[in-house]
Amino acid sequence: MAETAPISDRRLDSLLGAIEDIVFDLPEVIGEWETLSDAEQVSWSLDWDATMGSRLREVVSSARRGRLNPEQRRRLIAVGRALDAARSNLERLGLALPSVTLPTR
Amino acid sequence: MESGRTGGEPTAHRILREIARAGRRITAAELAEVRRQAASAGFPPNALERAGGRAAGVTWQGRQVSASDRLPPAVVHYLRHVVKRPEWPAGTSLAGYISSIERVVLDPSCGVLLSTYQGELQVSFVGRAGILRGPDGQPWIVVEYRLATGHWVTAHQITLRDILSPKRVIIQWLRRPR
Repeated sequence: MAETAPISDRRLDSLLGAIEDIVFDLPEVIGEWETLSDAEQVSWSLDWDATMGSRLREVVSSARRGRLNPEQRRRLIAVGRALDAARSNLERLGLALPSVTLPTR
Repeated sequence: MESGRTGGEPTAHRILREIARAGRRITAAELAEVRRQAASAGFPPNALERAGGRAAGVTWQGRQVSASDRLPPAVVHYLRHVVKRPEWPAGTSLAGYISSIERVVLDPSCGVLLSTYQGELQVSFVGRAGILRGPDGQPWIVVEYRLATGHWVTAHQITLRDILSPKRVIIQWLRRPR
C-alpha cells in the first residue's frame, strides 16, 4: 500500500488553528445557541461538521504517526479536553462528536 | 418550464419540495432552474452573524475583528474561509469569493445534493476546487443553499465525506459530483 505523504508543519499548525478556533468558541456558542437564528445555527454546524471530520482526522492521523512536534501535541490534547468537557452539550444540540480518538497525553 | 416564481414561492423551491415529497427524478430543465435560483440568491443581505473565533483577529476595513463582532454573513464567511484560513488562493477578494460561489452553483458538472439539515430542506452544490484550492483548501467547494431563507448558508472547501452529519438526512443526489 502506498504511504501517505507527510503533511507539512505549516499545514498541521494551520489545521490545529482552525480546530482550536471553533472548539474554544464552544462555550460561548452553546450559551447563546437558543438565541441564534436558524441560518446562523446551520452555518455554525456545517463548519463544525467539516472541522470534526477531515481536519481533525488529518491531525489525529499525523499524531498517531508521531509527526506532531511537542507543542502541536500539547495543543491537540487541549482540544481533546475541551471536547470532553463539552460532550453532553454537543449531544444535547445534536452536533457531531469527533469520529476519532484524540491523544490524552 | 416557467422560470421565476409560482404563487409567491420561487419555482425552484416548488420543484425541490415536490421531489422531496414524491421522490421522483429531476429533469434537466428543472435542475437548470434550481441552479439559476440558487446562484443569484447570495448570502442574506440584511442579517448579521457573529464573527466568532474563526474570523477573530483579522483586519477588516481598517480594524481588527473581535469574536463578538456581528457582521454581514457574506463578510463573515469571506473572513473565515478566505482571509483567516486561506481555503481560497491568496489575494482572493470578497467579490472574487462570491463570484466563485456563483460559478460553482451554475457549473453543469457540479454535484447537487438535496437533503434536510436540522429538519429543513437544503441543497448543496458540490464542485471541484481545482485552481481555487488555496493553502488550507480541500478538494471540493460546497455551497449550501437553504430553502427556508432562500439564501446561501455557507460556502467552504471540504472533503466529500464531510457532507455526512448527524444533522443531515440525505434525500437524493439530484446530480452526482464528478
